[in-house]
Amino acid sequence: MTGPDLTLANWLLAAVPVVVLMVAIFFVGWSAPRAGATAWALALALAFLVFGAASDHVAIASAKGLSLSVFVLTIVWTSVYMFNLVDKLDGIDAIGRAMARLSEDRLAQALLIGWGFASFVQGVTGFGVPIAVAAPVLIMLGFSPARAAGMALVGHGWAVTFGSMGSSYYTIQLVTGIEGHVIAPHMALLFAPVIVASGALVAHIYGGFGAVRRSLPLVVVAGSVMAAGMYVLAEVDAPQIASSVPAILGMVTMALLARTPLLVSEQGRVVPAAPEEAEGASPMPFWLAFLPYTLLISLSVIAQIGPIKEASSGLRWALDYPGFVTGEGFVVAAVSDYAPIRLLNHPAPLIVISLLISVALYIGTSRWRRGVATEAFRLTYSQCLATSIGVATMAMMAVVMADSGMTVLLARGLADASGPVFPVVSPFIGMLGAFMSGSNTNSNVMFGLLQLETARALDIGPVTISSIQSVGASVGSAMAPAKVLVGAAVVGLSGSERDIFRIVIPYILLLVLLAGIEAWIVVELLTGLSR
Amino acid sequence: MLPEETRRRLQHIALVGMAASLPLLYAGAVTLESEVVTVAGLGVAGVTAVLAWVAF
Repeated sequence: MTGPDLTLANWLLAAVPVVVLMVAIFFVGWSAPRAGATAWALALALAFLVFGAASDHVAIASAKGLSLSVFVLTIVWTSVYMFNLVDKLDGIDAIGRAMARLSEDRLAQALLIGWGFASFVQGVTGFGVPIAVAAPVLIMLGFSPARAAGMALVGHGWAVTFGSMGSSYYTIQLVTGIEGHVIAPHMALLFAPVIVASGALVAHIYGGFGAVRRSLPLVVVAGSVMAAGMYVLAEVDAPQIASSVPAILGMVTMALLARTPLLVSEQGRVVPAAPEEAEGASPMPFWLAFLPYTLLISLSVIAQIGPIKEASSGLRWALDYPGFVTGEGFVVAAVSDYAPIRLLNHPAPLIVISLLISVALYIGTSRWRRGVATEAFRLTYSQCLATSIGVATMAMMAVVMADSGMTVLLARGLADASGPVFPVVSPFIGMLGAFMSGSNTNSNVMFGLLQLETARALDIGPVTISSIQSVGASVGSAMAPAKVLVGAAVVGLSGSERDIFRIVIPYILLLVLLAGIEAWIVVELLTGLSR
Repeated sequence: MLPEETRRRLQHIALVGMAASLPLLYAGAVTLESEVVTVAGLGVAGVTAVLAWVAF
């Protein structure tokens, strides 16, 4: 026996915590902590009463969920604190003014920041930082908080698999055992329509179909440049920069083309001027205002250099967890260094180092103000309180479900029921994993092998299905509660996460469906492309 | 409906409870392998979940 039996009753019961979570947030209007606490309690009861988990199993799973929360929340707290500190010193104001100068057209600004810049930051850092950096800049440019978070979330989803220096890509490659030179270019091909569609959807969030029509030529050209860049880098075995470099290429293309007829000007619309500089005050220069973010991005890149990465690999905080077998025979492997916080390979320590250096420079250039650090901390605490409980309860729910066999049961049910349309369903399984765990990497670990084995059983392209698993997880991670809650905290919408979910979910479902249709076309119609 | 001041206080307590749950659960289920400590950890996490339900 390898876990709970796949019956309709078991499948429906396994779906209960996720359904309750979604209904509570979207339809009842509960806050994330309240919905998360309820979903965790339900998952715990079902694991214990139905799926054969013992008290120590659910305790280990809940502790793992909290370990995962520490991993995520250290990023949330430090990134929100960094933003608040820079904001209190008028730095965000300076960043907003500088970004506004790139293009006077607000649609171009939305695409540059929400699609290009957020993806670049995902390429070099990841773990929610793109939202923490890009969303505040969009707010500074005058976008509403929910739309700002929505654009950054939808715009950066394509960059997750090859982002964070390729961590999710390497995971799917290792889990499936498919050679890198085979899976990387194939995955890049499958990403191409998703990249272009992401840009169009960011435009849609900005201004509906009118904005899509207005920016379509620009989005198609910039998106094609990004997709081509990703393919070339995957082909030459440089997957670790196959998100960041294409994002830069896309931003340069957009900045150049925004002043050409490729971006149709908006008839009769008065372009709002860039924010006025305060009279009498000497505004902070852009380089100094953006310094903490420049340092964060630079340190993230430096930390990936071979010898530095190797030397610092032992500097980490993590817990080891034992394996166990549930009463239903579901095997959970022992894991060492679970959700590790590595000194030079986790955003939180890098944010702290970046902040310390920046503060020294702010003091040195007389920009520092007494008491500002405490003011920023108070604000951060109030912004992150609800987010912290929400992330913790939802992460506990996700790991309890995974470690009692409920998540695998859900995926197996979806795979079995889909049959000939499995390629369409496949990215939704990847999305499910990312939604539950908040991570493309974790989704690839959870479902990579399941997808490969199902593809082999159905005799359809195993490389295509393994690739589309990661494409679905990459895009789907953008609507994971862990990421949405980061966005909500940064843009000041803690407690109103529903506003962001409502914007993001339809777009993400559309992107994942696009990925599924693509996979189906490749597997069934363009069989020459299928691997 | 709880008074705002009480709700705020419960929110702080929920954060502390959540933070306290990890060492208790880990010590009970992994380090000490003690049923009593494990159940205590689950109890603290459970009470915290109830507080979160009430306070947020």
